[in-house]
Amino acid sequence: MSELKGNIPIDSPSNSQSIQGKIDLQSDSNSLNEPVIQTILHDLKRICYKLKCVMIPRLSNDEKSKELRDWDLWGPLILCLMLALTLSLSSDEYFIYSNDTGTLIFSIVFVVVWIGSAVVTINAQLLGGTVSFFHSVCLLGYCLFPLNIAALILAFIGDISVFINLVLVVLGLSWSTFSSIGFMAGLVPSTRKALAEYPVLLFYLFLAWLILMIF
Amino acid sequence: MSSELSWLDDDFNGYGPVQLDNQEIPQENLILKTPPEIPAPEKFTLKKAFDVDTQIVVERLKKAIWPIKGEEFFDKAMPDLYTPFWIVTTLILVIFVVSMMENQDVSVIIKSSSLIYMVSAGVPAALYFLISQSGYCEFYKLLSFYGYSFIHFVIAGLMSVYANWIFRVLVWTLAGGLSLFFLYKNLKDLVIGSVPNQKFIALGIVVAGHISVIITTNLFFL
Repeated sequence: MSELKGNIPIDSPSNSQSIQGKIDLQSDSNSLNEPVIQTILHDLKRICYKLKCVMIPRLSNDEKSKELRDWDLWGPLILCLMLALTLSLSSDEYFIYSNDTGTLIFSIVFVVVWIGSAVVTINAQLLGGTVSFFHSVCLLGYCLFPLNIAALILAFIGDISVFINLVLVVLGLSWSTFSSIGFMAGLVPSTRKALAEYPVLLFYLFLAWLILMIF
Repeated sequence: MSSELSWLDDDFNGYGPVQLDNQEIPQENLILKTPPEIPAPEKFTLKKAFDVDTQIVVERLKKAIWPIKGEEFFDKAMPDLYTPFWIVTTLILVIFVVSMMENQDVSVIIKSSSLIYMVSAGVPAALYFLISQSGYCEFYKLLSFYGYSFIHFVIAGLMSVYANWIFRVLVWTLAGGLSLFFLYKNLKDLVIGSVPNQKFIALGIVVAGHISVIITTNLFFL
């Protein structure tokens, strides 16, 4: 294997020291050589870390924004697909209409999540916000997580009581909205906070209503 | 010549400038004042159309909901597109929410969004085409006014949660009436000034758009 050897002198008035060492050019962090499963686990860990950052209430909006500066769309895609699949597979049991309802619900959720995120982000930018487009879409996507959890739980216990369904969906909606609304409001001037927050509320309200109606 | 007509022979020399009582002597060097500059119409950009604050949006919504007062709607400011866009989007979601309570047809969101976005863009486009044949107006102004007029339908949609057909007919008729009055009040001068011979065609276009929204929503969605 290739190696580099050498001395790095340190200038010091008292004594001269040097660092001797070698650098292995084939380091362990080179992902081209690592197994695929390791790369996938590495990406999943990053997604989980970002989910934790977005979902933990004690983190301030600035800290959340800083953690998500290194944005990615894998996390939002996984969450969107999870929500769309949960709702479309559950819809066949609860809807009396044609067999295409599941397909229709999947496409509606998928389109609404991505186009909705884009529209909310563009709205914030037009109101004077200074955020990168994908940074905002990434955060709105990660904030779908509570609604995802609510939908997954209801997929198993949705038959028990309408009241439980309502409580779970309201909790999921509140958590999603609370996580994202502060971030969006911080992007625009203070006289326009409500104008940036309203579309976010509308976005999650639509998804929450869809979840409630399907279960 | 007789003395009464002797002034006819006068060549009027030597009299000097005629000065009437209580008048200033006109100055020889008049400084011509340049006429006041008429400001050019503001160039439309999407960012300017969204340049509104929360307070302004709330004020405009109040004026739109109750258009009976005789105030100028935009108050010499540039018409905004933020509120019209989100009013129209809210209407689509309100229709979806109310319709899911009754018939649980998910495809309503696709049908209602197609209809309402098409009408909210198509009617102003038709009006713009009509007015620009012999006049001038900005398309975004028509879009803005037409979008604001849908606020009454949002309220009617929310009230349609009470599923009684007589109540719904009353509510939607009242909403349509207020909405048409709002448009009449704000667009009357523009239409009559530009196309006085085609004002009834413009009225027909607007009424057709509103009727299509009201009837389709109540018959097929709610």
